[in-house]
Amino acid sequence: MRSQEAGGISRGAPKGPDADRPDRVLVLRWPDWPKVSEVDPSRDVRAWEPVVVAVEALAPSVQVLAAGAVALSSRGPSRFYGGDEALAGRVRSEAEKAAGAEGCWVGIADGFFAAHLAAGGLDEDTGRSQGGVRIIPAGKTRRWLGPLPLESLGGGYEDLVDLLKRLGIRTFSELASLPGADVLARFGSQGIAAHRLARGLDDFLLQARTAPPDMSVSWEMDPPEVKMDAVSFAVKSLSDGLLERLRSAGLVLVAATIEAHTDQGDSSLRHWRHEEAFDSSALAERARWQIEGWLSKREDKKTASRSRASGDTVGSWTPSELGSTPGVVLVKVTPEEVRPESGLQLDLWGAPSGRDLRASRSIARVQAILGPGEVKAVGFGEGRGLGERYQAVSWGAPRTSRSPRPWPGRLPRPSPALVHLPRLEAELLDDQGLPVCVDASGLLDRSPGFVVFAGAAPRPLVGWAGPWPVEERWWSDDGGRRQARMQVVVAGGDAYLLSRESTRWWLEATYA
Amino acid sequence: MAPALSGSTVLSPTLEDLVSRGVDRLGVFRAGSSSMLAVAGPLGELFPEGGIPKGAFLGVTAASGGFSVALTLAGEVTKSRGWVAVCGLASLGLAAAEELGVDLERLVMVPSPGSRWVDVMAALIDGFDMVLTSPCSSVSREMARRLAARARQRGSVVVLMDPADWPESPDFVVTVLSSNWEGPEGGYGCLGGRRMDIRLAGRRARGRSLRRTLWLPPSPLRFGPEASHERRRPPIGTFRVDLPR
Repeated sequence: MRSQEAGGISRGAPKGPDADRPDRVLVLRWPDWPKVSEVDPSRDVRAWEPVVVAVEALAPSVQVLAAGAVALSSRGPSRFYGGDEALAGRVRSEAEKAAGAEGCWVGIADGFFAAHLAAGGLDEDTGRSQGGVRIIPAGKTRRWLGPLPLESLGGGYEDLVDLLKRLGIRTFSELASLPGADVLARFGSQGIAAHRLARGLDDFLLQARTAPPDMSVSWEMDPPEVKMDAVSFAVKSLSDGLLERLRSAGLVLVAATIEAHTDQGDSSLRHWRHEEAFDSSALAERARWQIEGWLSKREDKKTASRSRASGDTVGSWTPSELGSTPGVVLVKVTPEEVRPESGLQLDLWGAPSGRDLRASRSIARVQAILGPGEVKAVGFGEGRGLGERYQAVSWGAPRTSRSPRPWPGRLPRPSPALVHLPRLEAELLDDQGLPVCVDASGLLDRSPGFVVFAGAAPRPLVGWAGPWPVEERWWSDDGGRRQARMQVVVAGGDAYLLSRESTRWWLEATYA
Repeated sequence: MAPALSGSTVLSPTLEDLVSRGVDRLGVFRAGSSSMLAVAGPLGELFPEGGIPKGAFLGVTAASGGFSVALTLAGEVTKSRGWVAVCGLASLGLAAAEELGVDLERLVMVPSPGSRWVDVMAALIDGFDMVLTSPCSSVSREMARRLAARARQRGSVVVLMDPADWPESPDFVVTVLSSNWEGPEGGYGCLGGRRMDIRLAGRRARGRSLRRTLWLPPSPLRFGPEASHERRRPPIGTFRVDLPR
């Protein structure tokens, strides 16, 4: 199943009724979670923390999306509480109790995307959330999505939605009725992702897979760190390192667990999920929210118990009276779910212009015809050889950037327009037809007169240059690599690059 | 609308109609406003209008420097922020491409299209400003016409290396008549540059057979009346002073 979908291409109908259907997901959301977020995001999350704790008490594997939204896999909990309605009602009442506010939405549907849409935000006549429960029965997601406008796809899809609307496609059902292959051909990987969502197939969970083991990163702090700024900095560099490692494996991070321990022996562990993929600042921000929210809650508790014990008012409390403030000793980030990096790197080009977009669609179509690995971009390597400095890398894979360092021993310009990989056999002869060799001091032992390429007639030389010896890795145990290169020009004006290695001449390249 | 080429590139009529309406109304997929790919230097002077009309099929003989000529043209495309695709031609030298002015960030390669050559070409023509390829021998005349029509419609320049196998005669054919290297002398020196005599012919060359001399790589430091077009002798009767820059 997963391998069939690996290319993001879906042909025809799913194999069975449930073959392609994503998991049941519950999303709890306050579409208008306190507007303080714009002033101080961390306070916003601190207020959200009790809600997360309340939901976690009802069901395992709760994932925090942002302040005001959590998601959980609902199949198990729903069975436990006796159905989707019972679960949703329970979650809603507990969450509202913990938050001390009304207006919470709970949506349950096949897949995260539909559940997120079901969890309110759609009937905002008053601009405020009324709250409620919306359950989309299993298998009915596509029908429910049908009449909704494509704008519900949200950020990231704006350009595509705009284009589709101008072509007269406004709702999910209209998009879903187009043939998938054509959507892929015309609108690329983003188009097919939207098309799959419209058909009630949620790539969000389908594509996600368990992160490879041993990818977690941690930072120990000695002495314990009490300043939140310093913790934030540590988390930021952790995230940078982790995302870089994932990127080099062609993956992006969708869900992660963030763990923090204090010197007083307690810890906080929270699962986070991102709708698209975490970048390092988003991940660091989540970690800061979590740690700040957790530490401040501890402080509150302590303050409360202290003031109860002493009978003092909160106002008279100072940190020094409490003893040490908790210091963070360990922060750990573990990737939970990853997704292959999408085939196109439009974001690297900045805002895609019309031509870039045209080219990217065309690339997606060739990938659909030949397979994703058959379209190549140019990456850069290091070395003296012709094939070493430039590398063809699969389109969409991370490209190595160019090394600023010069490579001594590299061929002078101009470079040959055709590089033969693998190289072809050649012979170099003198005027009498005797083979020409390179002697121990790196010079030709006789003057060359003819060159012969595999099976062809000898061609007289009108000019030649070299040979230039190249010795690479002469220090290594296997003896490194020793060769000599030379340029020859034949009558008629063609020029070739020859090399001498393993007592043979080779045709390396043609100045075509 | 271009006729559909084969199974995988057939678009359903509904989407194709929608898209064509989009093209008419909004110019969504229309190529850039200019109908000409500007080409600098003596290479541009070959063409009747100083550049290659977008949508043209161009043949280039591969021998004695034809690939360098093709890469120079590709460089002109990326210079104007266009995209170049290479279909087949797996041994193309990327160092040479870069030296001849190609922005490698805007170069995409499909090294082994194999039996799907026509489908791949059709897809590339839709999205790229120039497609470099060597013709596939099994292409029928009918298929060649369809590809040419598609290129005209999309404004993509197709460069065919060694067009002898191509069933249609290309709009233009660039032939390298002779090429002379300077640099190597009996084992000393190294290849420096070459002087090429090139000729343009073809259906759209307006019956003329034009010749120019081209230095590759181009160098402003070369002298001689025909070496570089910037240094051409001014016509008799005009007076010119070259000020040092």
